[in-house]
Amino acid sequence: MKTTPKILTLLCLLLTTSAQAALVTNGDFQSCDFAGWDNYTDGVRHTSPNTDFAIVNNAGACQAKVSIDVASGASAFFANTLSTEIDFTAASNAQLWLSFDWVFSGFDDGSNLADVFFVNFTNSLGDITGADANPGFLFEPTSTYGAGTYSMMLDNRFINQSGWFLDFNLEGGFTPDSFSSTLLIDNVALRSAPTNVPGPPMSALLLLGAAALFTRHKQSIRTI
Amino acid sequence: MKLLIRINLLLMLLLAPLADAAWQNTDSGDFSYASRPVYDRVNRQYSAIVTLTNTGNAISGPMRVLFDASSHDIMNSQGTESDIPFIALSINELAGGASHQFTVKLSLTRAALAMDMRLQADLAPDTGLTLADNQIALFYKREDANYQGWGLHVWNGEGCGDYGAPTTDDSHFANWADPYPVDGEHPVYGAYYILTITPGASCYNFIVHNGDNKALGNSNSRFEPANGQQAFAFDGYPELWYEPIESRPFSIDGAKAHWMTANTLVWLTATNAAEYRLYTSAEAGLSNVNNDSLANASFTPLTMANEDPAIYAQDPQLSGFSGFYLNLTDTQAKQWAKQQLLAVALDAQGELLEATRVQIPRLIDSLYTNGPDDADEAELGVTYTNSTITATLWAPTATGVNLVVYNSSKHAIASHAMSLNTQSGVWFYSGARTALDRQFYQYDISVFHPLTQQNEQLTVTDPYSVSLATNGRYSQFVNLHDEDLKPTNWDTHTVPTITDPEDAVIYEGHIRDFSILDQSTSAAHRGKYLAFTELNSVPMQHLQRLQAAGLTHFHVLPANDIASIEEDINQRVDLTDSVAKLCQLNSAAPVCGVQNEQDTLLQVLQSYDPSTTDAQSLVESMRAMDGFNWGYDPQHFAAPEGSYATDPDGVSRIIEMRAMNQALHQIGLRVVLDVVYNHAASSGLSDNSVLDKVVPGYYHRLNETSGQIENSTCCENTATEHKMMAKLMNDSLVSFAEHFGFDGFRFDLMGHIPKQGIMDAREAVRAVDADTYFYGEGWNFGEVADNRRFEQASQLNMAGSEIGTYSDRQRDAVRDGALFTGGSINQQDVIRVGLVGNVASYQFVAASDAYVSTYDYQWNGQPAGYSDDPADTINYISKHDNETLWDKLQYALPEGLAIQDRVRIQNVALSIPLLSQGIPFLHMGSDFIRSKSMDRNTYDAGDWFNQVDFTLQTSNWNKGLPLAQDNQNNWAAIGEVSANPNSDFTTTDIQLSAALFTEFLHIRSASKLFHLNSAKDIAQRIKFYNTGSQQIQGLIVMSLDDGIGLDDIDSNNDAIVVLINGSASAQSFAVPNANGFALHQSQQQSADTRVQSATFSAGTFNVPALTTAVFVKAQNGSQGYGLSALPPYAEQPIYLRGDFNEWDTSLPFSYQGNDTYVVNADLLQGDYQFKIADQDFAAVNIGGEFTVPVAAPAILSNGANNLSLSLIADGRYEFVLDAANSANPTLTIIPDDPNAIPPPYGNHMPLLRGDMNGWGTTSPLTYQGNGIYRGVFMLDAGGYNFKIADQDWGGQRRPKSRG
Repeated sequence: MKTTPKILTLLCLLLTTSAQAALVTNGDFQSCDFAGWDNYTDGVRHTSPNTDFAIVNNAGACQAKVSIDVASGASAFFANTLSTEIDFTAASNAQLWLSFDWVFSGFDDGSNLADVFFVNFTNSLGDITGADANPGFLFEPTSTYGAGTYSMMLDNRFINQSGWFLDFNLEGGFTPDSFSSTLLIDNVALRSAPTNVPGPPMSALLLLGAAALFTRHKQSIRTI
Repeated sequence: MKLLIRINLLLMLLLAPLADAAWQNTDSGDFSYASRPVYDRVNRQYSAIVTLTNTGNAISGPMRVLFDASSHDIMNSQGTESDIPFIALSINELAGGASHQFTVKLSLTRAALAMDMRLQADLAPDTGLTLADNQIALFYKREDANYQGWGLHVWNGEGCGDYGAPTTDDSHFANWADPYPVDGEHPVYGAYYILTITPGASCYNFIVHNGDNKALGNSNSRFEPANGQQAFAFDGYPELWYEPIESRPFSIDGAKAHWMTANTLVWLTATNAAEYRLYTSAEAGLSNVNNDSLANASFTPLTMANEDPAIYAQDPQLSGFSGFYLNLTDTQAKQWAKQQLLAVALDAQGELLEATRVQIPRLIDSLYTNGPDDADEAELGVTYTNSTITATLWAPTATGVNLVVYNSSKHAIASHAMSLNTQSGVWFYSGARTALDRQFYQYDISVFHPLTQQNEQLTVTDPYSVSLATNGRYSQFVNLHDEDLKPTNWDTHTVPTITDPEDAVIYEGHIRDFSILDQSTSAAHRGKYLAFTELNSVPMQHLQRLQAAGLTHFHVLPANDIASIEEDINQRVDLTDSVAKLCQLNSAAPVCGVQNEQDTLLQVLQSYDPSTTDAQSLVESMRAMDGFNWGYDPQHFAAPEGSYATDPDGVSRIIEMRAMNQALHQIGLRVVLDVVYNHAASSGLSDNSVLDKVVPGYYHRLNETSGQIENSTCCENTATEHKMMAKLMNDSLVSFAEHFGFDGFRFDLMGHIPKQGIMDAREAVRAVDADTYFYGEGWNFGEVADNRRFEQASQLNMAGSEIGTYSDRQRDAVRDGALFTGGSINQQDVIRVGLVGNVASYQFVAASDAYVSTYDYQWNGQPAGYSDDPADTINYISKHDNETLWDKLQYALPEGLAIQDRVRIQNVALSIPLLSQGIPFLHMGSDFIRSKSMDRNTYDAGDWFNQVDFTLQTSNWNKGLPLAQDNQNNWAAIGEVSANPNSDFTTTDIQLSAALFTEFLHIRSASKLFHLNSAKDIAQRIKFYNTGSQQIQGLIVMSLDDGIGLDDIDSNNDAIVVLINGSASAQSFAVPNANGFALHQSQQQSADTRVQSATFSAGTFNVPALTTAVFVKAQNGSQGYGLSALPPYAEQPIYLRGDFNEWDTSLPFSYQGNDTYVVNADLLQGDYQFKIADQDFAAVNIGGEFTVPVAAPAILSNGANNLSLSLIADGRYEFVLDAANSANPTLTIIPDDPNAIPPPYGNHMPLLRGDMNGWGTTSPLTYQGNGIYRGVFMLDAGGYNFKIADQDWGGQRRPKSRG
């Protein structure tokens, strides 16, 4: 399951040869717990294990699992959010790259009012913010199930900012019969690289991401 | 990122106060967002990211998004606009096509999101108007957004620049009656007017108005293009803004607070504030109002309180103003009154809600005039003792005053600090007489001025000056008792008297007009006071002829010191000056470089074609520098005008004014001074301002809300309702009466002065001149209209005061020419009203046939007659205002009317005020056909248009089109009328008119009947014939009785009959009971041969066309029978008395005019006895001893026995008594119900009897009521003999009809 993302990640790493160390703590959940992460249900942070958030331990290859399933005991009414504070410390001329793997699956109807998954930065004011440091998302809300690897260069205005959180959100749908959905997150990484290193144009990265997503989507159907 | 947002917000805050921006909708914002809200776990709200895309041009400025509708509540709105939430965006620029994302926080409503959003930008606002470089736009905004009738009065010049075509070509240009209409209405900024200007001037005059209502205060408005091409104004406020603003910004709102006494203040406050305060600042630091500027200022709390109703009774215009109490002592209030003041309303948080300036005149009156020996008792001006001179100046708000003394060269020779009497507010300085006498002086005053809202250091002359330097620049120390200021025999000269005020006949002249171009007056005295001392000059000879014929008063237009005439002869140009001199002073004059420099301006004017505008153009170019002005612009109220003196610098003006009056007295004329106390020439800090520099804001009448000086009089209105302005009026009048010998005063716009003020002034003057006479213009208009601020000295209010008011009733009726052109007979009624002196109680038969009092006769919505006493009325048909009588009549008369008839009409018209009760007032020169070349306002039209030729050789008709200022809109009509050869009168016409005027003057003065003393006299003696709906148009017949039964006030006559025939044909008119009349002796020998042919014969008067004829019934020895003006049974009431009312007096007859009495009685069926009798069955005791028929006339007999009456039905019966023959009057009884009239033949049935029915009884007529029988019969064609007869062909009361 992880082969292709790893290849893509590798490709990115190859392209950013001088990348710094990871700036996200326990981004790959290799501690097999939520160390470095907070779990929120309807905006309330969990302080103890719960049915909405879990670690999937696949022979030591751990990943986070977020569920929203009104019918089967998940407690969220509005949304569950997997969140971690980001350390944007970097050289002022650095490029920041964010990447993660995701799998969004479930039994809802994929309609506009069904369960959705989206990723964004936020701060203590709740400013939902995208990679360009403007209001928006890192990963646009979608109710279409699928899987993929996300990788995006961030606006350099984030450099050295503090108080920002990376939120993976799974929001319950408004459909009369809302069915359960699950989100798997893994390999969350933020890397910085000096800007004097030539990088691929953004479009190339996007194309790569799109190709990966397309591929991953097919694979995910087989693997889940 | 948040940092950036904060910086942007900070920038916006910094920019906001500086930019006159406003939120405006844009239609270029396109919004997109996901219909699925996303969860914001931080705020526990839903959230949506909205993408705004600018589909239009770049937007620059703060932006916000309004949510007109939303499926979710907007949780992060930053405010609301009209209850619509909005979110401010973090951007100030959005390029065309560019996008911007923002977040909307939403309520946790689990539903699809739908929002209706609107982008607004806080842009420098734009009206959307595109103007050419030579265009300006004025926006005028009203709260009610109703611009119907609001137009723009625009005109050229007057201190500003000229407009340009097409504005100037528009019919609305300079057209007050039909102003420039709205060009459009902007949804935000209101109505707008687009005007074209001639660029280059600093300002352009305009007034926004609707009829006489001015939108932006009373002052003229000035558009100043240097500030911008578009100006924005708000109803009720004078300010103009030159950046688009939607509403008037917070600012000090006028002067709506009035401090009345030390402890009371009233304020038209719109706010319901938590706190009210009165602030003061000795340093005048309250000009820019905000919380900071007030933080360190002194204030006293204002506590809402119910005011004494007397406060509002004194100033009714303040009704509705809220009352406040403030806790200050008189001493504190006196100090505060010297300082800048501000009334402020605050909310509970201490934030400013409202601020307004404070008016203090009533406080000043309260503090300084309520005591027995304070300001209003003070002797102001200069006072002399043997060794000292004391200068006193009332200036209670001044903080310091210095007296600066100048020598005759006007070099300052001393300065003396003056002392303040804190009780009276009077500053005084006493110095040695030797050091001060005949020196000149000014005052240096330190005072806060409300106009500038600053403490000012001002130099001013003495408002109580009696002598002045040239142009009134310095006052002079003068003792009016000095012998060298008196003409020879001044103290002992005889002043002519009249017995009753009604005996006055007034001739209105202008000192300069009187002689300026008269060759018989010595050159040095032409246009001067001293011209009147040349008793053999042609003008003085004319006055003496008029005096001999009966003229009693010569009235001079204002001769106190006026501002408008240049007194320095070197700075002046007059008609006798050369072209070169004019061009030296005004190189732009039209003669410069065109006319021979050595020619006089008079020669040039005489050379012009009168059909052109050349003359007015030349006069216009010199009028600001010439020596002529009517003089209604007072600068010093108690000093003589200098331009009429041979030397304007110093005391000549005193000596020569006295000499003028002495000379007029010498020829038997009393002298009236025209006085102007309704306004001053100037105010504020202007050079010619006097009063407003001494006690700023006190002497002028301020609008009760704006605080601006009212200017309804044309100029800077003065406030004679304030005690010290009234005192100035009284003191100056007394001085002119006592020290200069004026015998009466005429008050310009007297209706702007309180009635009480005028009454008090007359009492003050009577103390030094017991038989003085006051009269004035009692017009009712402006800010004082309808007694809005006090009981005015206006027409109706002055009834019974024996203070005359000009009557516009007869004036308009005569001048409109209806009498001469077959016009309305109602105008003849109004002339009759004037003939009886406007006496309100006088009754006559009007054109409607109603017998009404002149008071009940409606004239333009007002009573036609309004006086109680003949001396209340000044009758006139021509004076300095408006066109002369001749000029005005030329508009009214038919084009083809021959010149001889026009001259006759002029003379008939002039005879009317002379034969009217009340006091006739005659425009100098109207007696010899004075014309002003159709100019309707010659106040500054120079000697050319104002010339009067007493040689009776030339006329002033058609001397060129009159000045553009007041006549331009009428030039086409004026040109047409002036070009009519039928209006060209000759020397013969002039001389005939002068002779006829003298005849009528003599006729009037020779009989007291033409100047009766009371309303009762008028009712008892004067009667009109030819009245009612059937009257002959153009003919007025009036009798004046002096016969037996009345006091014999005319020993020569027992009665007089006047026939004014304005029709184009001879008229004959029979007057009942008239006998023994003959044409007046003066007319038998008249200069007018036509009137000599007027005759009286057998009760009928015959009068030629266009002629006023006066007939007298001579009294031979003792008083004989005259021609009664009373009803047939005189003034006693008569009654219907009989069985039906127990012979009491419950059924009085009312007199209906035309010898007819009427009473209505509700009577029951039955038989009665009755009489018509007076209270005592004495002089009137009418009977007849027969049965009076119903609905048929019956002749009764005074003194006979009872009458009988038989009524067949209950009902109302009208008894009509025609007493033309008072001994045998005719009674007709008319029932309301026709069936109450009994069949005329009683029980006898009339029958049709003839050939058609064999003379049988088969064809009866049946009674229909109302005296009518009726029958319908079928007859064959043919001829028949027949009768109407009863059964037995006769008997009593048989039918009388015979075939």
